[in-house]
Amino acid sequence: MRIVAEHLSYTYNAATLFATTALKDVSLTVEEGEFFGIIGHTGSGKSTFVQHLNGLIRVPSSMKRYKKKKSKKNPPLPQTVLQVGEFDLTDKKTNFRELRRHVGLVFQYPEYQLFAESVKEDVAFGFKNFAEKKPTDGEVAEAVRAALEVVGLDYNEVAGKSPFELSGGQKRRVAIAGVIVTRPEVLVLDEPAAGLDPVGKREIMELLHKLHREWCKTVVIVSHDMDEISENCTRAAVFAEGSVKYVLPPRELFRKRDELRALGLDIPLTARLLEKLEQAGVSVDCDFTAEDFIAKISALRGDRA
Amino acid sequence: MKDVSFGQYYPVTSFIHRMDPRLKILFLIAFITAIFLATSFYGLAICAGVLIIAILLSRVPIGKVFRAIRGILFIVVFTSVLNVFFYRGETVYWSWKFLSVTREGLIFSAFLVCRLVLLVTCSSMLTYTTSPVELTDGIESLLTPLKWVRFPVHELALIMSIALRFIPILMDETERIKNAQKARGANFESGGPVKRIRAIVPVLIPLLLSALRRAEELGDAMDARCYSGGRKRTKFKKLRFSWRDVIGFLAGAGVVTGVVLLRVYGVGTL
Amino acid sequence: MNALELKGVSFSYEEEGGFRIENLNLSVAEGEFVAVLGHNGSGKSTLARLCNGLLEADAGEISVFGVPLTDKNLFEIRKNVGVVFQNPDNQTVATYVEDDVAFGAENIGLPREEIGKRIDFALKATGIEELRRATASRLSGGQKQRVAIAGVLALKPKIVILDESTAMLDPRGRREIVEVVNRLNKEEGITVLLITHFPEEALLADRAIVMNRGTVVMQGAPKEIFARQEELLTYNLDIPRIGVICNRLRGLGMQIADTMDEDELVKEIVQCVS
Repeated sequence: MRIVAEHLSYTYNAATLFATTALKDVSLTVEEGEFFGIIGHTGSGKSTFVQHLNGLIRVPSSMKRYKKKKSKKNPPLPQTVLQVGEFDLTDKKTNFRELRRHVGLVFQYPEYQLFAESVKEDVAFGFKNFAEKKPTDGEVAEAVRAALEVVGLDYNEVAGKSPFELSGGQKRRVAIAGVIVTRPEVLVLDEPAAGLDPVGKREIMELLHKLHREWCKTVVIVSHDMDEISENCTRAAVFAEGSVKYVLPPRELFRKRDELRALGLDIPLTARLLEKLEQAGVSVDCDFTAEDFIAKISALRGDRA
Repeated sequence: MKDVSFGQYYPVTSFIHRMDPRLKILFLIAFITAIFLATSFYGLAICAGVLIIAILLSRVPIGKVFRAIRGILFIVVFTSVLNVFFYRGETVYWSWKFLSVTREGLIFSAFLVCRLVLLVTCSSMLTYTTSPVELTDGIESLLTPLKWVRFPVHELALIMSIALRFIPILMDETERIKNAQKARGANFESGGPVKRIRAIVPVLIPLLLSALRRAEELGDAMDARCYSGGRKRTKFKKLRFSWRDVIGFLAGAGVVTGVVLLRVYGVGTL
Repeated sequence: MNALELKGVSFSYEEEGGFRIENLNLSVAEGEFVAVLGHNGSGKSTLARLCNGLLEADAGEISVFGVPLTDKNLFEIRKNVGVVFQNPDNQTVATYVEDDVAFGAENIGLPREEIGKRIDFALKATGIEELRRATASRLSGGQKQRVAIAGVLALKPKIVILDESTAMLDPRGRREIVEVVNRLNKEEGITVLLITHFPEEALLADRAIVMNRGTVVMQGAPKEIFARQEELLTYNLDIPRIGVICNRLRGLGMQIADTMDEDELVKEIVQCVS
């Protein structure tokens, strides 16, 4: 399922004293199979954009400008497009609930949404909501088991427990299981590693890669952490003040050091080191992952030996 | 996006806005008293006159003021209709079984409507021109004498203050939790009453847990900053009266006096 | 006399059984900046709450500037030991920043004029003077935590403990807080205990201690601690990213001195390849 956005704009509280424009003419495409990153400060529009992807925020119908008579006074406005797979999200009649079965959205600190008496019930919530007809107990149990196992939890151990008895890391996994139980093709996560310690962060990213390989074809993560982006993403979009400034693979994106800094954003550690090396006369090309950096630097020494 | 100040406060600077909240609260009480003491349209006219001046001074748009009245439109219409048809009077215009429209009924009904409108408008003016924090400070200050009878004034003020602080946070959180559950297919829109109530559970439980957690963490933070209840505590903020409040006081006193005089001398009594 | 002294302290949560903190010994000298590292569950947050009496130790003694902490003198202790917690939203009581910073000073019954001075001091020390009349809930995470620190500074504590105060912040917010804390230590002479799971934050400290299973397992200057990566990994911790890269390069045969500084590492690499 490809995600295509063109000329997407959004204003909160439009036509009131408190109107704020969150998105200004945003266009970007996420190809199927990507591990896509979204970077930007709070208020840059990234959360607003992400909530469009599963229809939590709808494209206002005034955005659709087809059939308006073209004249000198009414120049044709660029057509807003928001397409996820076959779903046209600019169409009011789209079945948004069906869309949500295919686009899973995990919010920040998802463990704070757990509510059910048992882990099994909580994970089943999503499955049951989307089932077309009432599923049998067996079908539910199977789906829950599969989801829990893929996030690394033992069904027999946790299914009957109250979600609130689990550790923080486990709770987060249960929350993620609850979203992927419908096997969405696209999984979007807002700051999946927020609040975790370094080991927790590593484990979550490993889990996301596993899901990317085995369960959800496309993964989109929103992150503040540039090192996280450079290590994990195939391409990343930079949001600033409601518009998209760049959509590039990390290898090219993090060469734009001055531009990123001008937007008040960081660059990964490897990029900072490479910049200083360049200033000292040592020029290296790398894709900004730690592995590649280490390989290229040690190769240098080999060359000169 | 909950930038909108909770409680309809309209944030501009004006004469009325700058008045001490205590004076405004007392004025409202005086005004309500006057409205109920009035026995004639002249009395209500005095109240209305002062109120209109206050509205003009407050720079709150007339549209907003009318919106407050619109809110109680139903009650106003209902009350007036009841009175028109059931008030027993002498000059009867129309009657049918136990219903009758009389001159006295019409007049009385109009009187009631005026009262209601004045009541609601004045109360709204208080909230439009006084921020929730100011109101809390004002109430705390006015209730201070109750400390002598062991009434927990400080605690009450702190409760209100904390509630004000956390209401926007909890509203945001409710929105977030709702969205998270919607993303998992929860449906809050359709379905019969039973279904809709059941649908609230996945929002209510996390919200309650969150509120409890916040309360606990806040309690720890307050303890860490030496909070120990109202005893031996000082207060930094100080409300001060100014010349505006003298005028407000005179206006309030004037209205009550005027109404009482009219009543005592039976001018235009209905 | 040490600013903070813990001797043989043990604590367990009733529901859990087993000890959260077991026979812990720790001394912090006045004016020191100590970083406490540990994975989630190592007991480091419990440590913060024991030091200001929010939790009562089951065994052992805690003293602040020589005065033992008991349940009778909590008020006095808390005037001297300020604690800033993890969640930027759940520490403020008032809508406006100024009113919230005043809260602590009001609690200890200071006269109005003195409270005003304390507020000025606290806002200046945390660099948020321009936020005096701001609405607390509309600030960024880093700003909110600075408000929380200011709220604690209004009591003029000699010791400030930060209990994972950067865990919920973005990288920019984290930097803000570490800067403020460092300044408080260097310029105001406040003893700082920074509890964190980010190894980079420990680099500015005078001393780093590592906790595991409720007790102190490593202690020393941050550089020394980070030289023992293998040991740290057994405690579910790691060294700063730059250290990882440094070690890997050395592992591949490059002659690079141990460093956690970006400029130094670059110098070493340049030397190596030319």
